[in-house]
Amino acid sequence: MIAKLQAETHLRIGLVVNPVAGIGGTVGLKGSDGSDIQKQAVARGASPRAQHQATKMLRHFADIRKNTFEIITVSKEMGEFATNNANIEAEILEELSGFNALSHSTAQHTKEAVQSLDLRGVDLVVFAGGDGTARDVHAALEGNSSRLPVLGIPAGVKMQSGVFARSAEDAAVILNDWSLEPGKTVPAEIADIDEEAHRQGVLTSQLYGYLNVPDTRRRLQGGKVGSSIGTQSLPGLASECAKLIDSEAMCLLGPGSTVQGVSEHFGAETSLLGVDVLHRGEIIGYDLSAYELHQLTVNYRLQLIVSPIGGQGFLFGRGNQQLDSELLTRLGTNDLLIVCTEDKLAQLGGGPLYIDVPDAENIERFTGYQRVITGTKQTASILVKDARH
Amino acid sequence: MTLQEDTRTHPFQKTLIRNYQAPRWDEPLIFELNAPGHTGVVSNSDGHSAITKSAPENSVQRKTAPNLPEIGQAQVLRHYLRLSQETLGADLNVDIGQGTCTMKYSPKVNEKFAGSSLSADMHPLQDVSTAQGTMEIIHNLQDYLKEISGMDQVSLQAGSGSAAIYGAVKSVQAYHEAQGESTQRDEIITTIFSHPSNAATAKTVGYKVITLYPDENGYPDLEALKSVLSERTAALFITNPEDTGVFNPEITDFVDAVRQVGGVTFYDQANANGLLGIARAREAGFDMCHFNLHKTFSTPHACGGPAAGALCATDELAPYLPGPQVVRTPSRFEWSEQGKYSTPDIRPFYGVVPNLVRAYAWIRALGAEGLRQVAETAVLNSNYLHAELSKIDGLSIPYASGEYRIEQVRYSWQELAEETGISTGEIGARMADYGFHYWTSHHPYIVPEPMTLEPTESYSKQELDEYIATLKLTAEEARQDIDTVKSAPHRSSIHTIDQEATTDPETWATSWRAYRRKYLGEQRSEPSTWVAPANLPIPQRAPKAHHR
Amino acid sequence: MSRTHPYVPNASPQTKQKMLDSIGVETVEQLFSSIPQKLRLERPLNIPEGFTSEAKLVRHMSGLLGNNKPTTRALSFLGAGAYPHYVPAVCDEVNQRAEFLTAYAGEAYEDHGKWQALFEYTSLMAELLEMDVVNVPTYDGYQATATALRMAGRITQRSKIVCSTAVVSAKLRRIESFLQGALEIVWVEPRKETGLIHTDDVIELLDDTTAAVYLETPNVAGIVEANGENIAQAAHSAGALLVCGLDPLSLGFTESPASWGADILCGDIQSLGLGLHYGGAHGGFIATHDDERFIYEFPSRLFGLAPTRKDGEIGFVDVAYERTSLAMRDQGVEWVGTAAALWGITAGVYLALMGPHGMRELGDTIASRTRYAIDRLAAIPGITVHHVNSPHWREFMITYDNHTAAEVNAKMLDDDIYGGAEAGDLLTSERSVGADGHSLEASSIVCVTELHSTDDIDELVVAFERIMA
Repeated sequence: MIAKLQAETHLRIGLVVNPVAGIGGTVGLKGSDGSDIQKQAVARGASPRAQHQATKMLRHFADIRKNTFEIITVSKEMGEFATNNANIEAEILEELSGFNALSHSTAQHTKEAVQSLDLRGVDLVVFAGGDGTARDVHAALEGNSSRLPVLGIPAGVKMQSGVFARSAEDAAVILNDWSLEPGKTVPAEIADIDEEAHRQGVLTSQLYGYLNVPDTRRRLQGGKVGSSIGTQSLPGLASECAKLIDSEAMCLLGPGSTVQGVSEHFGAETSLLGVDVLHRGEIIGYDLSAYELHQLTVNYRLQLIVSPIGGQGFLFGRGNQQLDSELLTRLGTNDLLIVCTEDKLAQLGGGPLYIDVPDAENIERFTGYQRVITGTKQTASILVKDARH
Repeated sequence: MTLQEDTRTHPFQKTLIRNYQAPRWDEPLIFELNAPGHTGVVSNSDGHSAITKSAPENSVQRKTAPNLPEIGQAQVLRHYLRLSQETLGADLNVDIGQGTCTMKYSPKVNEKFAGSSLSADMHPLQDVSTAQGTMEIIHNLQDYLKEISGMDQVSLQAGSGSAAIYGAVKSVQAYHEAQGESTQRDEIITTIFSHPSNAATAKTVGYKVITLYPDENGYPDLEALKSVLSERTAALFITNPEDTGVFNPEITDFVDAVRQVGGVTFYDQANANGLLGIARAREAGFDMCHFNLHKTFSTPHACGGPAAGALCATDELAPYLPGPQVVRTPSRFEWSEQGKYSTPDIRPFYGVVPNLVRAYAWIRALGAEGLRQVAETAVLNSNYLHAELSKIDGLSIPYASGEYRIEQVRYSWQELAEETGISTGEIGARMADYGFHYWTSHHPYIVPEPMTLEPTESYSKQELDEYIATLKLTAEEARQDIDTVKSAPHRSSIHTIDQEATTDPETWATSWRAYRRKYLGEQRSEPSTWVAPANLPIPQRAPKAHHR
Repeated sequence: MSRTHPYVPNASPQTKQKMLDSIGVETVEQLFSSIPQKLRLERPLNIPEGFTSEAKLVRHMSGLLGNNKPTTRALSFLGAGAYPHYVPAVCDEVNQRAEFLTAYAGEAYEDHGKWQALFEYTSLMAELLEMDVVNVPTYDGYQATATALRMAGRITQRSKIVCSTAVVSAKLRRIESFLQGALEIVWVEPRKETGLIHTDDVIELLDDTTAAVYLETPNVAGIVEANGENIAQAAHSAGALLVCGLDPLSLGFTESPASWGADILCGDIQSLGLGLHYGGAHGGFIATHDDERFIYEFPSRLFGLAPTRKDGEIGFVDVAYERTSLAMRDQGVEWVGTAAALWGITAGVYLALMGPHGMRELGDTIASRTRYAIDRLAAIPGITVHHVNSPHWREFMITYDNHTAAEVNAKMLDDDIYGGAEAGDLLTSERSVGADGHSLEASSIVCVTELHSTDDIDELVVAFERIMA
């Protein structure tokens, strides 16, 4: 009854399967990074889940796709088996044919595979794995100017990063939606927790960077990570910050996509992972070190806009160590602006947020209940804790 | 041995899992029934419809008839009855899946009272001497709700729960205005688990909104509250229990803390179904509260209204309530005059009277003892579900482990989602295949993959068992045959909708008229004069969102 | 034998025991253990005992309602926001269908019929109003109007409304209260000689802060505005919108203000087969053209057509759902909640039954009977009918030379006539309806619909003549 848009595009998909992702989970280990854990897991009888997930995704995609596509992948366990199981013809990267993933899987395999696929000019890379795999993919593309989009098929134990579809089927749907309007992407966090520390019960979380993911209306899995994708309402945060920013002050802009999105609304182009300086409406410092920040802002009133980052919601001490004790000490009582959308706060369970700073005075100042700006004329009061306690 | 006691399978024993199929009439849009010359009803003109040439009305009479379809009476009836069959009313299903909505039984006999000519043909401005019956009903309903809440005055004007909350926000504003503090007190505090309307009405009135998140046990965080209280605090709008069903035993500490800084405390009791005759706003120290008559007091939900809200206040806040109340004078019932500070009417006339009549009759049918039985049974049913559902693998029950819940519980399918990739929304679509409603949670989701069930007092144990068995089956299906679950519904009146078109201004069709223009290329002469005013600002938009 | 209340099945001791066993407690009281004793009501509620049978309840309710004397047992000329029109039996039948009556927030699949019926309501209204977008009804015409004006403020990002005073005063207070802190209101009064809003008077108040002009037609005194097209042009040239309030039923008689170029239409659907219900049957509509800048400012739900995965099948879903407070809490537009959906469905049934010719005949009938009543009353010594030369529909205002309206109505009550609504209750003197110089206490607004035969009007005339004599 309603005419549908039928675009004619041809999609080139790169596929990488991390054959040992998800091995830890089924036997009660947290994650499967490090070969000792993998051996232990196989010994306990774990069976790799990534093959299965990748096959499911491919089958579903072949069912629903509206456009022609081709798949380029790696031999054997790293993709070939999955395409065979799904009865899909795929081109195999010959240069990596020596890989024997199950016997000696390393992060290096994933990285080389992604780099090869990028060189072959695929439209995006789909990978099956968990946070560790996502980090490897990120590492492969770091410094890459092509901003190659990626999409994760969930097959790991930890999936803190914002690059994963909710399920293998959803990954197929996202891929299909995106194939109708390729090109639109949004950045997603690559986060991970230190598995060894996590097994010991220690709270650690790292933001490793960002990768571009397809911007479609179906949500990616955002359940555990601060910044989920394409769901933020940033204009409200920006308008509230605009009211509070003193244009004569030096306003530091912390890392992360929330602060970057907010900055865009007042016309400032900022670095995604660095700390920038806004002064009189202009960015006068871009991705500065602690030393540079001091040099530039000395004798000025200091303001700071930050947003919680990483899986556990760190305000200071993860991914923004440039904000050193001295800078934090200089902040006046009302000069710390914490911004966070309600969606993201909800994913963090409404807090607590954490700081990891060395000096007692700043711990004292920035822990306890802090006001977080969550939208136009809207704030939340969230508990901030010292991560070392 | 009686049949009842015989637990063996016998030929007539129905399985708990229903082989449901929704009616599928494939009914066309009403416009496609158009048949020129047909008519559904004749107006009462008696041939007196001609406008004389000299009458001033001649100048404004329309030239052509409006563009409506022409359909015979039985054809209109048949069309709408088919649509009604494709609608799953609470009278037809075990409607415990629309948690927080209190889908209890709306007694049929109450329809007779509300629909009676003695009620329906009353004009709001007719002399009070001719309206004493309805006025006595409203008066007594006010009294009962005062007793149930412990408050001193009740305004029944609001057309819904959200409208009552709006009335409360305006009353708070009027109260602070009377104290000369309305400019200073510009913050309203609420919790993330409270209904979105608490925050949204406050914001509409112009308040800044401060949101409190739950602590690790699911209770609103008292220390967080204390951290934001100040001379700028206008009010606290809070629910207890919240949607988690966990009762906050420290609620008086919240109320006291707000009072200490001069703020008003409002208790959102949209749903008070677990507390009737058990605990009241008065004893907890609140200044105001409200009830949704379409929830706790059984008036039918009517596809989303007409509803009714009762707004209750202590003597201190009562002068600021909106709308007139019925007062008893020595000779008769009268409508009260509005005071100098009262909030202006939030609705025409006196409120949704048919629902006031229904709620009155419901209370009278139950009496004090019956009301308490309602609360006790609603809580019994909720904890029974809680106990049975906790046996389902993949379903967890966040917060306050070991505590009994009040009238509802927010569950989480997070474990099943991690195991299988299923989402709570997809489980909901599959439940439709078995003839059930299912609701997740308001946004944003604090509890991951949420599901909210509220069994009320109205459903029998057998009915609850049927819902439980079906949920179990669905979780199992997610493991065994996830494709079937993900592509659900299969047995509804229609198949999965492609929502894409309705998120884009280029493709959405908000009416049949808009559809004809956009998709059928209809050239339109009317209105010839409208063009979008030049230079309208282009605001920024929130990202797209869907209903489930 | 102990028996449960019919509304509370599981309260029976046998069932209760089974359930307590499953939970693992001995008494229901244990389930309330989280509620501290100090918060408990330690006595029974002071509410009468429940009736022991449905028959007794019916008898009680019949007794109470028997103390009413509804308009059907008198001759009533009351309108002023609650209008007596015939409610076709099919409207009642659909309104009372158990499936519709007891449905609620079900999704597009479980409740497909509800979504279609509401889409059809908005579509039928769209045809009548000649606008492409109509909301799922809000509470009432007051809310619809107040929201329409806030929408205009958001759309234009301007701060002032030019508002006609020829509106019932309770509604004006509601609008003022809702606009407080967001929009300033300046008032434009109708001309004394015509009762109509004059274009020049509007132009004088327009400036570059004006978000919208608000006109109501027919206005509180039943006068049909005649300068709408010029006012729309004036507003548009100042960068402002024209918002019009109207009763959709009046479009059986007049053209839609959409034809003037109005940008937003709003009002109440009570006249469309809802009945009176002592003022308890209202629903509010807001209509705009299909322009995303307008659509994104609706707080209400909007339903749209969408294809399903089966060829040729359609479903119905929310349009631009991210506007709403349900999706966005307080970052959405105003708020949306349970309001008046079933009244919307009922109004849709009414329009489907009436059809184009039924609506037109009804509109003409009301116009002709209103004029008949105006002519008859204008001839009675002691009564002044205002603005007899302006077009009226359904209502008109009169003033008594030597009586207050309350006195007149009290006398009429003896003859079982409910006289016109007393103007003192409906209008405030400082915001006149162009009847300056006449006491509001001595004025009434008389309502005539298709339910009033000429004989009924003649009976009113006789009663007036007797009182005025």
